Amino acid sequence: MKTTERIEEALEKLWVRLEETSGGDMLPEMLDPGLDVSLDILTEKGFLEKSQGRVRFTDIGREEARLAIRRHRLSERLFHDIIETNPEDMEKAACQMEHIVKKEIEEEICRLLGHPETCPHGKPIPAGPCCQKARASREKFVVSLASLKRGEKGVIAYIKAGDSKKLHKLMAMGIVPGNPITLNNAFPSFVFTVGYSQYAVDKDMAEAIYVKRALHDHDK
Amino acid sequence: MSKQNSCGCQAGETCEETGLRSIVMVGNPNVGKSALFNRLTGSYVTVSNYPGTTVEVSQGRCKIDGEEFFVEDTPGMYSLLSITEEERVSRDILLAGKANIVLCVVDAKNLKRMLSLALQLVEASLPAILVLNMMDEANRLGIRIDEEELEKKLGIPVVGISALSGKGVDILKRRIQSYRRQESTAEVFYGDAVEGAVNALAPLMPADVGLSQRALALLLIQNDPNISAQVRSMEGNSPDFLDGTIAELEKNLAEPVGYTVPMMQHTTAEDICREVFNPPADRNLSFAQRLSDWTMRPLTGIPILLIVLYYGLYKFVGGFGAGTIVGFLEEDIFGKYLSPWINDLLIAYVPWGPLRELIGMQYGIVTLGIRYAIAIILPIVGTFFIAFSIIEDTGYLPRLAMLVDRIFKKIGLNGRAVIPMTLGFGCDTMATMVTRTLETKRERIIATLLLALAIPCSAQLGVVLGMVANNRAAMAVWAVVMLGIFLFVGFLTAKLMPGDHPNFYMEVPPLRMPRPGAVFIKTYTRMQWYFMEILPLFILASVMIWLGNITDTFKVVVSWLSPVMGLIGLPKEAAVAFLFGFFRRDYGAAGLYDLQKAGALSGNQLAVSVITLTLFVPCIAQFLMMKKERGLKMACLMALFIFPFAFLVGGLVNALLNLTGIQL
Repeated sequence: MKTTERIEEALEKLWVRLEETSGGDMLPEMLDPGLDVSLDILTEKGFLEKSQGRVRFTDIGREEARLAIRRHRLSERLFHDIIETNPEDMEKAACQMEHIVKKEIEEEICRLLGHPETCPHGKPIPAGPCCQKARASREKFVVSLASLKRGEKGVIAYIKAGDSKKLHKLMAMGIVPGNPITLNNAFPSFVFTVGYSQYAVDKDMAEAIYVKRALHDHDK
Repeated sequence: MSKQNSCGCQAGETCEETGLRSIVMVGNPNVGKSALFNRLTGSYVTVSNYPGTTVEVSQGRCKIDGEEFFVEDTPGMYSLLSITEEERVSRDILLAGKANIVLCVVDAKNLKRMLSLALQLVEASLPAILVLNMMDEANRLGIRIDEEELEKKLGIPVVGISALSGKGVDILKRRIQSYRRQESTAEVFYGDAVEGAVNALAPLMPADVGLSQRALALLLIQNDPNISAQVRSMEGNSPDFLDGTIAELEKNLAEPVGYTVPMMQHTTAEDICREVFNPPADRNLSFAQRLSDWTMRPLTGIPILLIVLYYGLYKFVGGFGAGTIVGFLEEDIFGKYLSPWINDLLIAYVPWGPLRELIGMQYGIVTLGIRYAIAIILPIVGTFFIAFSIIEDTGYLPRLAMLVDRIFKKIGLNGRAVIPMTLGFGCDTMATMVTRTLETKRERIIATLLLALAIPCSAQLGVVLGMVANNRAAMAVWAVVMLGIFLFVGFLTAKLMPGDHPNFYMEVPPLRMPRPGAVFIKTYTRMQWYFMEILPLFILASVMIWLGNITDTFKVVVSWLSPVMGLIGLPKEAAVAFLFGFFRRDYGAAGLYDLQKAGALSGNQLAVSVITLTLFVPCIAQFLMMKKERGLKMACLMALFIFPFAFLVGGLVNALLNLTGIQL
């Protein structure tokens, strides 16, 4: 692995520990084990700083880590949703891919995926400028069933795994990724067709179903 | 009501109690399981399966070529991993291992997604036969299924039938009779991580139950609470090893186990279907589908609902049932012939006064109990059950559920609760029983309370509508107050009771033309249940009233109730009706009906009395059902709330009407 890649990997791990699981700073002893690059080198490069014996990101470091984690999780989503590789391959491929993605490509991937908010494991994907723009103009490719238009068709991409009971209910009814889906009605409840069956669910459930939109004519 | 079979036989042996081979039927909801059950056993129970109608396990006998089989129909299940009470019941029956043959019934046109349940049954080493029901509907859509190939792939017999028309049922019977376990059956490959964990855990699973150790291990890693508890309580199993293996597995998988396992089952099902299931080239929108769309859009759905209510409930039950038939039976048959004849007979042949009173006269068993039951209640409840069965068989109820879901959410329920609520308009006791199909305890409690408080049963409704028929203003006040109380109490209870917000999800079956035979049988079964339950209570009530009368206790209680009547502005005589109401809601209503016909109630009194009576205590049968379903404490708490609340609301409405000077 190249040095830059090792640094990126280390920054990603630090991001999870510093930004997602603790308040932003930690004791170095807690952080050191398992890192590809030592804390000293990262400090030397200006990514980390120490204050009162605790380690935290510098502004540059935090931004670099944020982007690295964003690329990693976007890559996971890409392999999971679009290429539909199996879980082990997904992880391997994502780990290699994240290091070679250029900024423009990263945005393209993000757009294709519909500016996803979470990775397949349910962890948040830091938003990029394209996500903010998309949120303003409401442009998305993979969207929740709740935001489809009446009569719109698509293919079920994934079901948000945040609530396993909900996931299980939907999957048990046959609402499974890969199946074509048509939204028949959006008010007062969401009515949709999968296969030869029709279902009615509330907004909460509809928001857990993510759909790859069929491309519109002007998109082709 | 059928009780669960208590005979605990082992797999492969015949049922010890009956000595018969047993057939257990399982499948998703709405696949026509009950229809097939009725085809096999010849005695209908209930034909369709909306939550509630087959929540209790139906049992029957089936004769094939001289051999008798014991047949059990289970509530709908989507997967061996159970979520609802109903699914748990079905799974437990399979787990008990007394089935010699398991019929896995699927809707042929939806084979792709129902096949995963069949795969689970095969994996569990259950002696399964796959029944492709509604083959005619699938063929009409242009779907072709290669049954032979499917049979080879699964390693179990596959039979295509139509339970409604009976086509293919004979072939199925032959396959049941000649059933032999096959050597190699289909197995799902879940990937190395899951397979590793399952192989490690399987030997620790109980070996002497209906499901294979592999199936149990799969349920365990998916964190099924019942299986988990059962395995953990077994001797010699270390919880550390179980937890460790599961934790290790979770670490090795990118997705939660609860996602991976069903996903692999579906993928396998799809792979199989790719070769055996030929879908039609295109699909046209039929009139039924268009009508179905209309029922689900508020703009067209609400007018359709109003039409259904007007013709189904108001015209048919209120007008025809409570008007025409009650008029004929009550006034002509009982009023002109039966009651005078009985009374004449009594006067002629029974010298002892009290005995005369017991059988005839004002409150006698025949002249009061049987008259109320047969001439007033029976026609109303009968017409309601006919209307309800027709509506149920068209598949309209799930559509109604999705329409009202948003409103029901506000009162702590979800759209699903529309089924017990609508049934409550028929019989609150039956509906209270059906509340067990709701998912959370909170929903069940709220639904039970609302049924007891604000949903009048058909008998009561019929009498109430009859009373206010000539006073539209009183009818309007009654309707508005009842709806208001329903929403207000529901809203308040939902606010006061902590708990999860229920999710609404439901399969919407296609609209179907109801079959007269099925509607008749269903109505008949419900009527039978109802009648067996109420007639003894009506007779008991007559006897109690008779006892009360001759011992004067009755007068004392009425004299206690009379001041309460005064407080809410009703004549003293109404106390009698409320006292009757203890025995049956409708009994009390019928008592008021007599009072109103005699012209003893003013418009305001009419409104106040019907409101109070509708809210008033649930009848004895409903109270007993509440106790059975929710426990004694909860049932008593509810009754203690409802009793004063009914009079409070009655008093308030009376005060409000007087204060504003409104005369209805």
